[in-house]
Amino acid sequence: MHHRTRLHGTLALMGLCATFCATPARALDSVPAYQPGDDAVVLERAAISSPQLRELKAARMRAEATPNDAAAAIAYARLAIELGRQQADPRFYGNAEAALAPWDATPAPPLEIAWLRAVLRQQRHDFDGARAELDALLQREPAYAPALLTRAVIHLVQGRPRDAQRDCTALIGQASVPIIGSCAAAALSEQGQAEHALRTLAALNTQVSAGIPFDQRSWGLTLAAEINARMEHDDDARAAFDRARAAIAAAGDHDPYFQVAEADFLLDQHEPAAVVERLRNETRNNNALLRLTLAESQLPDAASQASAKKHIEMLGERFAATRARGEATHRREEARYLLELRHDPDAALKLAVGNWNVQREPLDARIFLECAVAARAPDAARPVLEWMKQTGIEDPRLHRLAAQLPGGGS
Amino acid sequence: MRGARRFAVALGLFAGAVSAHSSSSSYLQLQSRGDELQGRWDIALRDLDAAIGLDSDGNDALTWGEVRQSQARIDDYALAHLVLRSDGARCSLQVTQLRIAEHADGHYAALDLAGRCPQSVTTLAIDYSLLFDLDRQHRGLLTLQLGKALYTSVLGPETGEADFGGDGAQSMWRVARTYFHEGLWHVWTGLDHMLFLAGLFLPAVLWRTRGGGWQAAPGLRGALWHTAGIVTAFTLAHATTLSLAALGWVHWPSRLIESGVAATVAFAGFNNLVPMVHRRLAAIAAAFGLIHGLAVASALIDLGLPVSGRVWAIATFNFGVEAAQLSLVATVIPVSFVFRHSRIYRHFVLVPGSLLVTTIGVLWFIERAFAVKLLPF
Repeated sequence: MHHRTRLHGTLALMGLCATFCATPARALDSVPAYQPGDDAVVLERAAISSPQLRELKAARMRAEATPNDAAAAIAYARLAIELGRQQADPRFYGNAEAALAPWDATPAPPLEIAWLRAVLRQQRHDFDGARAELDALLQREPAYAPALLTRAVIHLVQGRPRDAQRDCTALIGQASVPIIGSCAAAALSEQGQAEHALRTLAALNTQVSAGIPFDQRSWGLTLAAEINARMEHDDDARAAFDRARAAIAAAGDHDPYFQVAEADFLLDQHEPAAVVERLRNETRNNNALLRLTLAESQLPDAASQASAKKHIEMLGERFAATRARGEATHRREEARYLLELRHDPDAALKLAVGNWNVQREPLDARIFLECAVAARAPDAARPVLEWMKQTGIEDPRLHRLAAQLPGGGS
Repeated sequence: MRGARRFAVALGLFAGAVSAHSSSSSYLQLQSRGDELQGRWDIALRDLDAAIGLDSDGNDALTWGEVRQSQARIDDYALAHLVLRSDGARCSLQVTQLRIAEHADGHYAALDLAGRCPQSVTTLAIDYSLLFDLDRQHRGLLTLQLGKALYTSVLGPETGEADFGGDGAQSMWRVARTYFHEGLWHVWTGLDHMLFLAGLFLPAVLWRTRGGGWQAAPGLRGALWHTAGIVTAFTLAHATTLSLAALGWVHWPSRLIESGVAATVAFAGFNNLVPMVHRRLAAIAAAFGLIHGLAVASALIDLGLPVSGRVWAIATFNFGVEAAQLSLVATVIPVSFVFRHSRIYRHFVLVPGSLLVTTIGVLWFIERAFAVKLLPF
C-alpha cells in the first residue's frame, strides 16, 4: 500500500488547505484610506467609452429580461468577450460568464453556448476543461468551425503543434482561406517549418486588397511579425510589425496582444525608449506594464528609473492580489518579473516550472530556459529541451539558451 | 496565451486572452469584539460604476464629487450583498464612513463598517453575493478576526456562503491538532510503516546471535530504551527528509523511493532471520528513515500543505509519527518481553513474523521496481 492512498482519505487536511493555500490578502491596514479634499479630483477614468458601455448595458438588460433566451445571452456574452479582448480585461469575461450562467448545469447546451463556455474556460487558463468541452461539442457536431479553431489554439498553447495542425486541416471547407492558412502557419512555425509558415503568410498577406476582413488580416500580419521576430529576421519582423500596427490603427482597433508582442520585439532590439513611448498609457494592463517597466529600468535617466521603481512595486502588488484570489494565470509574466526586475532566478524558475505544466508556447519555453540558465539548474530545464526536440521548433534563441545551460544543455 | 487570441480574432471573436488586467476583487476585513463587529470593505470604483452607475455626467471620468453624492446608493448596494449571522441570528451592519483607497489596480471605495450581533460573536456565517450576478469572476477576499483566531478566505459564486469560528477554527492549534492526528494515523494505519517497525520490534526482546543461537533481553528497561532509541533515530531521519521534500528542496523519482521503502521492509525482516546487523540498528534505522521520509513527503505534497505555517504543519506531523511509534513501543515491547523465553514467541511470532515481513517486502519491491501487480493490497 502506498502512503498516498492512505493520506488521501483525510478530507480534514484538504479543508484546511483550502483556507491556507492561497496567500492571504494583504491587510487593508497597509492601504491608507482618505477623503480627497476636492470634489473635482478625478479618481478613475472609464475603461471604455460611454457608447460601448451603453451598448453592453443594453445587451445585458435584454439578456436579463429573458433569462432563458439563448440568443440574447449569446449576444451579451459575445459583446462582453470582444470588449475583454480589446481591453485585455477579465471583468468583461466575468460578465460573459454571468450571461451564460443559466446554462452552467446543462451538459449539452446550444452549440454556440458550449463553444463560448470553452472560450471562457480557456481565458481562465483551464485549458483541460476547455478542451473537454470542445471534444464533447465536436462529438455532437464534428464540423463546427469555431470549436475546431479554438481547440487548435488550445493545442498550441499547451505545446502540441501537431494536434493543432490536425484541427486546422479539419477546417478546410468550413472556414475562409486566410483563417485556415494562418492556423496552419502558426502550427507549422512550431514544428521546424517556420520558413514554410512565413511563405504561406506572405502569400496571404499580399492578398490584402482582395478584401479580407480586417480581423483576419491583422491576425496574419501579427503572426508573420512574431514568427519573423522569433527567427531573428529582424528587418522583416520590423516591417511586419509596422504593417500590422498600421492596419490596426486604420481599423480603429485597440489591440493589447499586438502591443505586447511588439514591445517584446523592441526590447530584444534594445530599443527601450520606443517601448516607453508606445506603452506609457497602458499601465492598467499588467502585461503591458511589465514591458513598460522593463523598458524604463533600461533607460539611464532619473525620471525613468524613478518610474520603474514605482512600477516594480505596483506589479508586485498586482501579482500578490492575483495570488490572493488563488489564481495562477500570471505565472509566465511573474516569472519574468522575478527574473529581470527582482533578480531572483530561483523563485522565477519555480514559477516558470509551474507555468510550463499549463502553458507551452515558445515564449513560455524562452522564459523557462532563461530562468534555468540564471539559476544554473540544467536538470529543471529538461522538459523544455525534450519539447524542443519533440516539436523540432527552430527558434534560434531557444537553442542558444539551451547551449548556455551548465553542462551544455541536451 | 498568445496564439489563443489571434485565432479567434479571425472569427471576429477573440477566443481567449491573457487576463492582463487584474480581475475584479473586493477586500473585506472584519473583526469581532464581544457582540460588536468592525471592519472595512474596499470595492473598486470601476465595479460600483458598472453595477449602479456613478458617473452621473457621463463624461467617462469619475470624480470624488460623483462618488460622494452616490454614497447612499453605494452603501445600500454593498450592504444588500453582505449578510452576517452569528450563531444563527442576523447581525446588523452599517457603513459609517466613505473614503477612497488606492490599490495597485485603481481607486476603491473604502467603506468603514460597524455592526452588532444579538450576542457575543463566537461563530460567524457570511453570505457574500457582491457583483456575482454581473461578473462571475469577481471574488471577495476576506480577512476575519474572530477573538484570537484569524481567518482568510476567497469568496466566489460557489463559495460566497462560508462559516467561521466554532469547530471551523483555523488557528495554529488546529493546524497542529490536524497534522499531529495525521501523523499518528500515518503510523497506525500505514502498512509500510507498521511492517518496517514490526521488523525492528520483533527481535527487541529475543534476537539471533551470529553463532546461530538465541539470546533473550536481560531486562525490560534495557529493551524499551533500546527500541525507543531505534525508533527515535528513525523518526529524526524521517523528519529530515520529509521536511526537505515537503518544502520542495529535494525531489526524487517516486518509483525509486517506493521501491527503496519496500527494500527496507524486506531487509528489516530478513535481518531477524539471518542477522547481518544488530549492534548498529539505530544507524540502519536512521538510514532507512531517510527513505521513508521522502515517501511520506510525496503524499503530503499531493495533499497540499498550508502555505502559511507549512513548517509548523510538517513539524506537528512528525511529532504525531513519533508519538505513535513510541506508543507502539510502550505496548508491544512489555508484552513480548513477558513471553520472550517461551517457544511460542520464537516459533509462532518471531520467525513466521519476520518471514512474513520479508516476503511482503520482497513482493512490494518487485511490484514497485518493475511496475507489476502481485499483492491484492
